[in-house]
Amino acid sequence: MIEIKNVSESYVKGTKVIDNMNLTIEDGRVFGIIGQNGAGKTTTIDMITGILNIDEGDILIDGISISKEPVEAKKRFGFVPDTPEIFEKLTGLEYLNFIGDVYDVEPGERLEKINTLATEFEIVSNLNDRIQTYSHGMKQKLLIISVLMHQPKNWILDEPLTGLDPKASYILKQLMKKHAEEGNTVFFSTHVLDVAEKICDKIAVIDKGKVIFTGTVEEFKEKAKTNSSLEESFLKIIDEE
Amino acid sequence: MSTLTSVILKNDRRRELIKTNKLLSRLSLVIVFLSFAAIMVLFSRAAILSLNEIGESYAFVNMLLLMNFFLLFTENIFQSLNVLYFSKDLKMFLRLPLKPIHLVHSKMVSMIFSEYQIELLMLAIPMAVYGIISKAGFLFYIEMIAILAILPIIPIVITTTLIAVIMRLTSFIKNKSKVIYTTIFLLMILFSFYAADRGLDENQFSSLSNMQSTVLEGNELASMLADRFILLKPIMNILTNGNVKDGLINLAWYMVESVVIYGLGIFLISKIYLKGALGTILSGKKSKKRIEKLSLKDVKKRNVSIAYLMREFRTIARSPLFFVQCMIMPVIQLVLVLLSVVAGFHFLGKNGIDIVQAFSLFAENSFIYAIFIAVQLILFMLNFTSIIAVSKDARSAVMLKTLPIALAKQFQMKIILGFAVNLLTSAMMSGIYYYCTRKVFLTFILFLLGVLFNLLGEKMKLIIDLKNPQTKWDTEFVLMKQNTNVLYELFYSLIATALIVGLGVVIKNIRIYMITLAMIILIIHFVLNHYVNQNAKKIFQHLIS
Repeated sequence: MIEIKNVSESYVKGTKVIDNMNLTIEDGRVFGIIGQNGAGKTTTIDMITGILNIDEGDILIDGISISKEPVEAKKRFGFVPDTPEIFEKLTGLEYLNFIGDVYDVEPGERLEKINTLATEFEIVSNLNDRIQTYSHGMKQKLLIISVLMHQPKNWILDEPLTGLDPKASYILKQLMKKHAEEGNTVFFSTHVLDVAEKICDKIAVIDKGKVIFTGTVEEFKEKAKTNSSLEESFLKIIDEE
Repeated sequence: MSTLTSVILKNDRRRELIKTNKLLSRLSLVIVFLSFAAIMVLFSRAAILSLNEIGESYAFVNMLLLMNFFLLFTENIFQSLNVLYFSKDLKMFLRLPLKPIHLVHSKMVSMIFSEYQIELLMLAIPMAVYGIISKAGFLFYIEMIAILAILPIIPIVITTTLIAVIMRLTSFIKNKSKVIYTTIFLLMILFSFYAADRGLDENQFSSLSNMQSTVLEGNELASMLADRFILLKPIMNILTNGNVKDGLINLAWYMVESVVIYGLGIFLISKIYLKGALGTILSGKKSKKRIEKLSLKDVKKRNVSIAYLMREFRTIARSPLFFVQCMIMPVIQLVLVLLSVVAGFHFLGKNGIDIVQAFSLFAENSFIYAIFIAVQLILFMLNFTSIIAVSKDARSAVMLKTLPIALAKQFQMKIILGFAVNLLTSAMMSGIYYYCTRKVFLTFILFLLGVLFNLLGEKMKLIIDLKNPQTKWDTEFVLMKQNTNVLYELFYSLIATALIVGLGVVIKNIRIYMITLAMIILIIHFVLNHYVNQNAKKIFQHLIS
């Protein structure tokens, strides 16, 4: 469970990029945060994951504050960033072993997860290559494997489907759904509304750092008073705002 | 072509925007720069006046030009490799319908411009001091500016041409790290042999009396240097020649040399550039060993700290420029210092001076002791491991903040590599001190003080890097060269050196000196550790995506 409580953030004094945000991402849900470029999606995720210090308010991961007990909070989530630029001088396998060591994953479990997921994502033969030789999609797959390997309760994914091939994209969406069905939390950002419409149990729409809607896709369409796609509802609401 | 050059120049120079107080940051940079400028002025003045006393003031300009000329050669080995072959913008430029000669010219101009920053500090200031002391006329300064503008051209073109040839010949090799290492070492050896061959004749300085007689002949040293480096002779003669007409002729001659070499160089490079550059697009190590299924031996479990340290080391070791600058250069510098000391002892021994006996007068002199510590600090300063400890990871550095490892612990782990390399320096300086004095206790304390200053220095360097992380670099060279954090590091080293030497002057009793210094540094350590533990989040706050 992820709770964002009265959170505000500003890069420049007086200009809030996130303005008094309140969100609760309950267990057992795939929760999508949608918004236009620059709306504040990545900033929100950066605050949840401890990359950005929070100016005001607090964020709790399974009840643990990311500000007050960062190490304990970080143990409870796995994070895939929007730009998969990860320690490029390491090989894929070295990176996975590093993450395994950091999250204290036992060798047997590590082996099973890597073998299964790397085979499924079709990058097992590349694991001895340096990450700098990987394509964008391969890096994304490696990051996803590293998150799944230590089985965190909360998944935090920033634009996770960007750069993935259709098969990997399908697998990841299935894994996200399955993870939520098992009583865990999946929180992800996207600006691809079709994806949000298909897999989200709940969405939050943010614009200029403010949450302008929280609820199901159907509720959102109802608010926009359209029976058409999420995309059209989104454009209508954003225009009104 | 001018648009391309302008794009490359802007892309190379503009710094990343970070959440910081710009005015304060700029002001501190100005203060640091002015401090260095002041030091350069003081050193230059002292050197010129000393040379003046023995009638060798011209030698100052010649030695300065020579030193910078060779500095440009060695530095440009890294620069041309990175700018022309391993720059991240290369993929984008190679897609555009550009002629190789245009790209090479634009990149070359960018490299020349980047040299001007260093020239300003290393060359312009000492030369201006020389001009003032020697009461030079207006023309001197005009000629000086012209020299500064054209000096980098020849070394950059020559090194880049050699690099281009090597890269073309090795474009079929897939392991680019090996190519880079080989290229760097081959060129380093080549330049060292050239420098040694062109250097001073051993017979001239075979004894103290020979040395004195050579130096005492008015400006003999200056003309000897000019004669030995034909390529540089025109510019060496420009500033030291009182005759306006001769000065201008020499300047024109050097300009012609530079223009011809530049034209020939970029023509030749452009002919072989594309194949070499395309070879590097596939850079990075593709393993021959393809995995089909992992076994337990592939997933050994390690302690978190060891895993973290190994990741740090691999990042440095697998980036040739980082490895050379952070691991190889500090060791080479130690070897050079050691060789100079051994040669000096050998020279004195040949002239009947017993070093142990001579040194016994200073064995318990706190100023000499301070010098031994200060030299360590200067050598620590040349180790870049901690000043790029965060920045070396580029944009992925931010991922470290998402790991469930306390930031304060990560801070401690990040300084270990730099600290370990510096231990060699402390061991060497303590060894030299022991050889000269045969004082076991003082040697041991010297080593301990070195260790304490080493730890403190590495912490300071890391704090500097964290306060102003340079994670958005395109080439490793840009991080190493255009990293203004190095100036702050130098500033810290300067203050620490002044403290060490100043105390050595004030406190004459070596034991009181040692205790005072140890107390001061222990207190600083205590305060700094407390600050890091309490403010880790704040220290890491500039590291953002």
